[in-house]
Amino acid sequence: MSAFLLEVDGLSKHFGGLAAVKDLSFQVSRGEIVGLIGPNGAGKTTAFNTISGVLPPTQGRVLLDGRDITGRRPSSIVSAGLARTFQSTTTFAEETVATNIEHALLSRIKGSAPQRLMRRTHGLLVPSDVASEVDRILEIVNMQAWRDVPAGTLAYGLQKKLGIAIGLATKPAMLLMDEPAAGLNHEECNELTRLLRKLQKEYGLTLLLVEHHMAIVMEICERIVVLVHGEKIAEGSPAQIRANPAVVQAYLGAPDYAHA
Amino acid sequence: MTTQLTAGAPSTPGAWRTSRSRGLAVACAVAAALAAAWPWAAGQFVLHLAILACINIVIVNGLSLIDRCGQLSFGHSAPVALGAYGSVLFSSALGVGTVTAAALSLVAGALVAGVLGWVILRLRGVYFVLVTFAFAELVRLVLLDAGSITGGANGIAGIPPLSIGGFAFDTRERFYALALALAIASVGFMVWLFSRPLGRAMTAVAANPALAESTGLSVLRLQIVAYIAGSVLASVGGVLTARYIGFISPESFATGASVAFITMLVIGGRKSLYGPMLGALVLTPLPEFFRGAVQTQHIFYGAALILILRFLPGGIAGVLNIKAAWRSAK
Amino acid sequence: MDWHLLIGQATANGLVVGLLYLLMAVGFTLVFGVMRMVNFAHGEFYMLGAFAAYFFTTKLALPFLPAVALSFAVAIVVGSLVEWFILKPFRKDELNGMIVTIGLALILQNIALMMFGPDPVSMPSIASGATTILGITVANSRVVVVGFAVVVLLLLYAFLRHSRAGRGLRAVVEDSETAAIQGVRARIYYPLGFGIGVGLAAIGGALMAPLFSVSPFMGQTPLLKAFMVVILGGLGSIPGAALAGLCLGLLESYSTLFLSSSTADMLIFLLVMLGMLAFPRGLIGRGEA
Repeated sequence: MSAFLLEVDGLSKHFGGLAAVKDLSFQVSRGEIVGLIGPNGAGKTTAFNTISGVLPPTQGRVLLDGRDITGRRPSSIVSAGLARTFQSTTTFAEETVATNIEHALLSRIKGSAPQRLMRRTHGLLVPSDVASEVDRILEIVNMQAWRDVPAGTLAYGLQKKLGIAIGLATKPAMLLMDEPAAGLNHEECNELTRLLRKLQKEYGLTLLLVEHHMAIVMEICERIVVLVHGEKIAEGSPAQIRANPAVVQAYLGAPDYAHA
Repeated sequence: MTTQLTAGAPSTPGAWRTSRSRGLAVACAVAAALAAAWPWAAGQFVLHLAILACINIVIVNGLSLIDRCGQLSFGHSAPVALGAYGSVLFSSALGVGTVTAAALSLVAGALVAGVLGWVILRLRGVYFVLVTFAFAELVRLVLLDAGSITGGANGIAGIPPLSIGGFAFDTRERFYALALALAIASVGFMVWLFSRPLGRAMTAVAANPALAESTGLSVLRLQIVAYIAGSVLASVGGVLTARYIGFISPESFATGASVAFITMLVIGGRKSLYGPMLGALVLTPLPEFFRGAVQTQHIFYGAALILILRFLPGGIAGVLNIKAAWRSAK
Repeated sequence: MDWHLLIGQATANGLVVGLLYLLMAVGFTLVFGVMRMVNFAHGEFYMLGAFAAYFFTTKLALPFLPAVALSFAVAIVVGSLVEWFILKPFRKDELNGMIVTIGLALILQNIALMMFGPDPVSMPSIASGATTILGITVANSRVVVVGFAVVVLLLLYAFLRHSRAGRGLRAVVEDSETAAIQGVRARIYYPLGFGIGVGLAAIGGALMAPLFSVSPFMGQTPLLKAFMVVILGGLGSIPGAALAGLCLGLLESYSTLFLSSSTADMLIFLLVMLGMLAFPRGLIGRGEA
């Protein structure tokens, strides 16, 4: 067991001449909730894509629990225990909510071809437990009522919750969440905050969020990393970040906005 | 048969519906058994068409398998050709029995598909289509060129029939039994596979590859598995073709064949597990209705493809679903 | 001494064939770039152009250049109509659109078979004799064809670079997202792109008709070559397709100096496969629309 669950070390991503992420380094400890913030175009989603395997990094390493997962395929990284959600809703639109979650469980089914194909070793499920696991996850995100509804017909907020449920179904040690609050109304935001806390406290999940919604970030994140133009300009507790003049100038703006 | 036909039915409580759908199932099964047995009583010509239809069912199921994992091969004639030529060449080169040669050609076909798939399945959609098309052309060229081994443009004639321990499948009646069994087995295999986690994983990959990848399912590995399995099914069809017709040449495995398989899949219905079967059953005897007017037949195929995709994207299977649902709702 | 001649001859042949591939590939890329659709009927429009040129020169006794121009016009009109009436529902549906173009190819090829029969016909030659350039003998008919092809390409370049319609078309092909943001009107560009794309194939067919024979089956090989070219040069890049087309023509010509033509085809296919192994992620990035 390594000291940190996630270590990002000197991560860089260049697109042709453009450096979207420059020499990014930070660590996330077990059970932490860390926020990644910065203005639009700062490279946050690119960093996410590089960490989760969607894009290969130009330079640098990513370690999950001490194991090098740099440049591996997304499915392999998920099997190792790092899952992510997406900014825009993405579901198996024609299937029901329950089937969506079932799809995400497939590589965990012990003895099944997907499990053997992915060589997954932890978080395995006996086939007869699949149904109850689906129920368990529906309960966590409070979506039992929508179990048999086709995912494509769900309201936006529910689709986002389904996205989280799908991520949870892979039984990750850590969840990367790409703007989970985007497009949510006030009530849904409160629910999200409660959910994130529950995931951390009750299920021992480690979370890394990219978020623009400052209230949520300041409330729930224990540590914040600030990215501007692809570079980390600050890292610290919410209070430290709020007080940091460079951050305020680059992103947070006037002090009273930061206290929103 | 039942589950698929009544799948579109609205839920109506009550015992009357269960017994009604059970009655429907029995009726369908009896009808299907009668239809399958009919060629034995209907003469050589019908047997011939039935055998060809069964072979096509196996081949198109293979294409469907690849399609259901999210990639459509426009060069499905290649594994068919490899199975046909492979089984013939293995038996003449190694002097082994017909069944052993067939098994060897399937193994070889699986290896080729595995290697090829590993390279080309990294490509998405359009590029994959182009490459499979080009590869099928390449296979045809190689077969034409390697005249000393493959007989070149003249092909290989006088292929001996399949025989298992002295029992030769040398009459149409016997061969039909074999072809029918394999056709039914291929449909059964598809239904079984897609009820298992592996099949459901393939369905997920086809529905949303990026999301499937993010749930821990390797799109590439699953598509390679589908591609190998689909190619092996096609090769089985190739072996049957060679052993039934007794003559093979590169022209029987040209782009026209790949197009025919896609046509059968589309017209039968890409969404349904019974689509390949329906497409093969309807389209195999069709040339007979056009008695020699090959061009008109092909124009009909082309028009049918366009019209079905435009107005009946579910194909024949889709039409049957609608009818069954409507019937149950009355 | 002999080598110079052989290579020179191969270069001359390669350029002629390369120009043909270029025309096919650029047209193919235009169609793909605008509509994100692989056009399996592209070869049949090539064939259509050849038959149109044949018809105009033999039955209507038109001179060659007007016949080619007229074939182009016919192809643009037919192409635009086909796009509007048959392909429009599949504008957002790549895969089914491709299958529809297969149906289209079946229809076009068999109409030609019904009208002209399966046997190849040959056009009267457009120029007699031969010229010697740099010690290489080239048939005059080829010189004329190459000349016309170059003119067509220059006109195409001018159109894509300097006309509003052409620039819009390029924008849609090379960067459809930005084009959409800038409100480039897709509705016109779909039939226009398809029409011009297949028109280029038709010009290719019309130009090559006097050099090779004309038959309803003549579209198959150019279609396959167009596929290889765009895999090499990348779909969605017009200059890439042009360059790759020329290179493929030259490569084929040179390799037939040493190998049989089908072995050359096989080697080129293997090269393409190796290229894909070397740049898998790069191609994936382009592969998905």
